[in-house]
Amino acid sequence: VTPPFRVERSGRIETTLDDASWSILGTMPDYLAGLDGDRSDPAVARLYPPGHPDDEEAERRFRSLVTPGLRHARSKDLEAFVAVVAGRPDSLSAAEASVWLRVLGEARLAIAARAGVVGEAPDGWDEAEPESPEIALVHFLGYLQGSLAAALLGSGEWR
Amino acid sequence: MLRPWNVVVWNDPVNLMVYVVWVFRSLFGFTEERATELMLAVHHEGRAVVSSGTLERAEADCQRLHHHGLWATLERA
Repeated sequence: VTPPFRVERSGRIETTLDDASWSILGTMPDYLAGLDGDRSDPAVARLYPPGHPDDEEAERRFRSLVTPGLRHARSKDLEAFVAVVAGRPDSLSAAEASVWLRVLGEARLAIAARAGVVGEAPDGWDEAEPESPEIALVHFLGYLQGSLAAALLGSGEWR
Repeated sequence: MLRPWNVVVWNDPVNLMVYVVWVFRSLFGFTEERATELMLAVHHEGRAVVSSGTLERAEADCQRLHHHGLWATLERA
């Protein structure tokens, strides 16, 4: 089986994705849009975790300091990801691959958090329904993300 | 104190080991060996200190780790 991502001699990352995979990648905004307000949403809580969990005042200052930049960076990542996915390219630059890794990771965390995967490994999965389509999607995106991370690390251009 | 704040990365059930190694290498410029060692410490011990410095520096590192989806917090060294 051809892996979804392989490093080329040039250092670029070759993509070998079928139509279904490209279609799934096209749905990432469905999971990541509107993830910036409601902290009772487990996905928001997971993607914007506390920096100072034991100090309310420091945490308020930290949140107001980092949240706007974090939201902006995530919206730029998603925008760049959507633009590249729309073209279904044969290969990715290292910079594009970095964006993809973050977006795939963010989607996995958001979907898993909403499906009840919480806490520390390995018991964090205990509350989630293992056969659910959401968990299947988390694993599929992990298959892509793992292949891409390995290819990018192997490219020597990963910074 | 020269490095009063530590940035701690905690184990989580979702992030892949190879992804965490890439994040550590990409953000901090660690060698593959060092990045793998820290990832395994997170995985097996539940947490690892990945950087330290002034509050400003440590909070900036924490924000970069959050941008990459890692579960990071700050603590006094």
